[in-house]
Amino acid sequence: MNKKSIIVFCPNPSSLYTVSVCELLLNRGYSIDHIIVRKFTFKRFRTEFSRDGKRLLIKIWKKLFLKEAAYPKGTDSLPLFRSNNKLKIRNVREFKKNGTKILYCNTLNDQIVEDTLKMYDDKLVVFTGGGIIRKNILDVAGDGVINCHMGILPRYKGMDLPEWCILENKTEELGITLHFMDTGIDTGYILRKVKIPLKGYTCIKSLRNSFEPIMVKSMVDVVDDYLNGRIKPLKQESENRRQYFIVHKKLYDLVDSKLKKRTTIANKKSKIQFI
Amino acid sequence: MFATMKLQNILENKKSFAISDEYPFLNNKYIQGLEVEDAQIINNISAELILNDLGEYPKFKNLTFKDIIDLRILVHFEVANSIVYDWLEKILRYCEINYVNLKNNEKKYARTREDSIKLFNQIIALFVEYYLLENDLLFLNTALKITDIKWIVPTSSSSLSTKALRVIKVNQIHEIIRTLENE
Repeated sequence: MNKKSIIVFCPNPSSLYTVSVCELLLNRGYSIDHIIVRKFTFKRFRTEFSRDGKRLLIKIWKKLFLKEAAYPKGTDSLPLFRSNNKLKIRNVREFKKNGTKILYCNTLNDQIVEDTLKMYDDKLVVFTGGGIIRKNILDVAGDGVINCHMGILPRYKGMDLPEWCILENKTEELGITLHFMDTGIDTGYILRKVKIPLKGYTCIKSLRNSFEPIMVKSMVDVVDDYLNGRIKPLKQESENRRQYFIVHKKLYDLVDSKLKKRTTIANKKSKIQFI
Repeated sequence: MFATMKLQNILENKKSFAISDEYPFLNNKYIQGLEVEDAQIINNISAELILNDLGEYPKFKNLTFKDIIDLRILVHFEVANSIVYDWLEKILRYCEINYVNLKNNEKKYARTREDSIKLFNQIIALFVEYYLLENDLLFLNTALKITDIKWIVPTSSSSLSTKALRVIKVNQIHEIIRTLENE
């Protein structure tokens, strides 16, 4: 097995995405050397609130308070994936017993993070959230920082990409991309693209929830394959690239109504075939 | 070529076009703040001339509502070439990335309140018109976001054409959304 050190960037200590990725990596025999957790400070709240507005409050309520209860039961989602894979760890602190060091920082670009990364010679950083990573960190991140992006690159850069795929009637473009981060926005070398079929989801929330288990599994698979030399990063083509932004409430409602219509039409078609 | 022919046609029929429904945005009630200058615009209108004038995209702080009107004219005549598209993308990116700081930035740029109102309402109009030309929802999305900003709603002291443009474009957005919902 490859001897590279694995360092994980984490958005909050109880991030289900982070703990699931880490636990699955442990189950595959990897040891996680360091988990670097971004503290939730007032400054962070203010910055994120100015970007996301009310959405941030909902996100905080769901991710920090409701946690697994935020997901509807019986649907494809991270809690169901966790229970199917018998993943028990709920907080990064629990990884201490496996020898993992935990570091708390104000931002992932702090000097202390840079110094921590410099402690390891041969390393790979796994990004599971926590904000934009600056050049000072990317320069000392060894092989690089792997990120799971919620769209198919290079076409879909930016935010709210599942929503944009549906708005543009390009549901065949729904998916995720595992890539190395660089100083641009979603422009780094690509490791793997995973297309996700639309199935019968009637609202964007359930569709988004269904992405999460695939993101966790793909991240672990890609780290595993990369460390064992089974995949090589490929440079992104710069043509046909587009940056998308947060979808306005009115278009967001339109996404849901488009999904409902698709499902209704699909159901009607299936009934006709049955008769 | 097509756009030039269209322009030629307009220039030959200046009088009728000022009140024509075919080119509604050029009717001066749509071109806010240009009541005095609209005749001049009509006389000098030429896609090539506007394109030459546009040149390289300046910083947003140097942008004026007249630049946006130039872009609207080009979009209206379907001259959506790389220069126009470049400008549009840069304005879109600026509005999206600086969305929460737009008001503060306007103060920094030392534009008067009325100039900011004119500029942003012209941007709304430009984005809606570009959406109608290219069906590019990203522009409609940003137009929707800008309409949500309270401080760019025309005030009682704003010109009638500014108020008219605002009402027309907001209604147009609602109409587009209704159409999209029924698709």
